[in-house]
Amino acid sequence: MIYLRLFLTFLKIGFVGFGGGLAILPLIYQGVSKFTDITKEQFANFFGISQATPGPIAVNAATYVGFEAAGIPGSLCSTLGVILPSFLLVVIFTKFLKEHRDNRLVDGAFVGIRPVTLGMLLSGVWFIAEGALFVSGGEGMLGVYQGVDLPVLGMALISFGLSLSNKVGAIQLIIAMGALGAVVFS
Amino acid sequence: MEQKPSIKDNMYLKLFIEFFTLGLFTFGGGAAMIAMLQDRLRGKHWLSEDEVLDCITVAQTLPGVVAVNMSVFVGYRMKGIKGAMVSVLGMVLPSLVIIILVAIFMEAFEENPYIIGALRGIRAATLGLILATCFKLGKQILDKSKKERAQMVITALVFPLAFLAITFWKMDAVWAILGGLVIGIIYGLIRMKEEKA
Repeated sequence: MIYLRLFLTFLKIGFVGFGGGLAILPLIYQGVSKFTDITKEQFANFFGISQATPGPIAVNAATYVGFEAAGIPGSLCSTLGVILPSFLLVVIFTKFLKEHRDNRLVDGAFVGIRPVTLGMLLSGVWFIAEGALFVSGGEGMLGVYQGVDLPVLGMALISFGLSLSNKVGAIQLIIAMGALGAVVFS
Repeated sequence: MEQKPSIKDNMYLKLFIEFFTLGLFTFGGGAAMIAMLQDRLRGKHWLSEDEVLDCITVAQTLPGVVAVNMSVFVGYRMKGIKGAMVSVLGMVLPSLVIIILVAIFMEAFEENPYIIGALRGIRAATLGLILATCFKLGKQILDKSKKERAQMVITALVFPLAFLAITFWKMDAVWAILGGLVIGIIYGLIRMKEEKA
């Protein structure tokens, strides 16, 4: 039954997926290509969509694949599958933390992991910057950076300054820069 | 005189609206979601600064979807299981609706120059936001570790190493987290021993 298989496939992805959306995408392709007729092209389309739509990337992927494979009920099954592991693990872990947060070993673990998560976040900056800032050359020169997208760099720096000084809320910033982009780049 | 609680004061509704808003306005996945949540929770008095830091650490450490992990953490802290459910629902609802619409109207969506322009602007904002969050969290982590020399050393060594390993040596984030965990537990054990002595 396709619904159950969608649910189970995404349940598995939810349990083993680490490090956020883009890291999970190849896993999703492997998982779903086994039993649905989603083409590589459809999935490549999704990669574009994932950059262009709001929301968690893994949830978006689950919704898209489920919808293409089995309509709206399919998208509900796969989305439920991908969020269920998060739900269970975080609830169990938060409960555990409530009682043991002050334990020396638990606190020590936080001391060790915190800088790693900061490194992961900065790595995310790097990854997004590569995609957003560098304009690669024409055909035949793929992967060669030809220049920096200066307007985007400028807007990113302004956003950085405004956010760092806590002057503008994150959502206002997204809306303002989106509107500016629609006017300037169209 | 008891005031009748208004629907606006309902914590479940507040959680739902907050995470619905986050799901609707966050582009670019987990890192962007962390930046948005950190910004939105500031001044809300839902969680303390330390708890927000714990939330971000836990969301990245446990498997699963980072954004969903964060919504469950905050929802559960505020209102138990039901709070967690309401928060997750809010987080995924915009995705469900938008992705299905996009899947249906794909072409019109892909070729609209205003949408393409808006997305470039949004990507710029996202980039600035996440970088700013790195600075804010970095400062918070450093301030916390200043209490003890050993913590300072761990922070100063592990952070750049993790960044380099994940970004340039293409190390899987799981291994970096496990490395941090092992170092942290060793540190915890040493501290326990010292206290006993």
